[in-house]
Amino acid sequence: MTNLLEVRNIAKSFGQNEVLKDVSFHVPPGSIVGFIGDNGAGKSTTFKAVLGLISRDSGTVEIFGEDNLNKNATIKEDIGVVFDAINLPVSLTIKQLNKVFKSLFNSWDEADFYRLIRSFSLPEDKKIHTFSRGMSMKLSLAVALSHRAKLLLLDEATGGLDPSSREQILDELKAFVSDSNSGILLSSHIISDVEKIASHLVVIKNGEVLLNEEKEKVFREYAIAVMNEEQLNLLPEDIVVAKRTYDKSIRVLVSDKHQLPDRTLTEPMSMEELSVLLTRSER
Amino acid sequence: MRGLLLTNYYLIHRSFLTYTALAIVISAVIFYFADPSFYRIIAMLIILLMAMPVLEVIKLESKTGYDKYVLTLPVSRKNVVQSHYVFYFLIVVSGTILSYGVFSMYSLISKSAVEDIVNIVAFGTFIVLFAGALAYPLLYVFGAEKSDGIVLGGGMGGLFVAIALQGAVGYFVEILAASSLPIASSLHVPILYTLFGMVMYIASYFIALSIYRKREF
Repeated sequence: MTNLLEVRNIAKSFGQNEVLKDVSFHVPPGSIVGFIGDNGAGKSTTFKAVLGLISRDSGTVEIFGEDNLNKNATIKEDIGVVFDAINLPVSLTIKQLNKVFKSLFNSWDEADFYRLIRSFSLPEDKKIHTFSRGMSMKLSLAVALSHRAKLLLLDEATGGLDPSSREQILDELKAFVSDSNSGILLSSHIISDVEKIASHLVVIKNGEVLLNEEKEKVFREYAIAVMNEEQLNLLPEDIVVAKRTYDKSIRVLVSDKHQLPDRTLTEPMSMEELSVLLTRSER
Repeated sequence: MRGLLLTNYYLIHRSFLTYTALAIVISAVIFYFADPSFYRIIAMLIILLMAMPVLEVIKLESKTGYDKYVLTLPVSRKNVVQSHYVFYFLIVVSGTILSYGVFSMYSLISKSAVEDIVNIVAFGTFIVLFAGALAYPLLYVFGAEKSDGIVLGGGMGGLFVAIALQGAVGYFVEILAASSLPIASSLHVPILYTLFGMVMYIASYFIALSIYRKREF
């Protein structure tokens, strides 16, 4: 089955500043791809490049097998987007917003929209600018989930939410992909969210993808080895994903723990440690 | 497109009504105190005051990031530019009708007929159409932060161009008068001003579209 989103070798520079370098990854149907990286790593720029909000220097972006988002706007019927801020016209009320989106989306599901609005306890008659950040993000998600989209692009969508609201939203997202035809690209600083729901991991640093793998495979096959410089030099280069030097040792993320020499010291790997090692790595 | 127009309407409908009421009050004050040489100013003021909140749409969209978000919805960049231009045009038409209505009402109440109402109103329509034609491409280039200066500059530019065009309009009026077209001579000037305004507005739309297509968010 065609990937919902296929990003191949995209590059983008702003003047001398190379923001994206040969970025490739994909979102298969039924998956939630956790997109992890520090501030300024290139996550939001990737989202913008995918959505055609900025031009690309090179590379291709295929959504549902087509690379012409700016030419064929109807493709966007099947995409739901949430950025890291509200981004909706804030002087409108939810009722007015419903009327606007009803006119914009052929597949707008008013009943589902109001179901989500009520489930998120959002006031229908108040202007959006009176909402807290958490309420605004819930509203943005309700919009993205109310037009039978097949692909959700969520850029820091769970930021600013209290734990209980986050839990509620993660449940909605899990339900969204349960039909195995839909998929989500979810960037988040909150590693626990990614850990809970992601099926694939993409880690980006300085505009470069360091890891692009199924989460299950990462925890099955990968390992964090603790070694010295000499031991590191003996490792096959193709299994070294990232390394970070500490005072007396080097922590190395390897993609195949079975290729590690016997008696190599390894550390238990959590999502948090994996993310920190990758985003702080020297390679 | 309907959804985009509806958003524009919701964004400014309150300030639109306020400005419309203000336009009526100011025109009443000018009618009471000023002489007929100010009539053209009144016509322009009514239409301009009604259209000013519409130019604010871009500022309001940019302030909340909706200008970026709207491009993730099933609309093209062309649709977005069209919605701005169509919405502004509809308000200019409403302003023209209101302006005509205000002058007719004044003629009725004061019992002193205002001559050339159509002419006066067409002059105002031209200025405000030109202001929009100037403002939109500049707003797309320089961004909403500069919108106050751009809107003001657009209005002033429209006024200067309308005055500067008087010679050209006079020339075409002579041609029209010499032709055998079945148009009442009193309508020659308003038709020409409206036509010039429309041509500039449409040309501006194509320029704005080519700018907006390359814009990065």
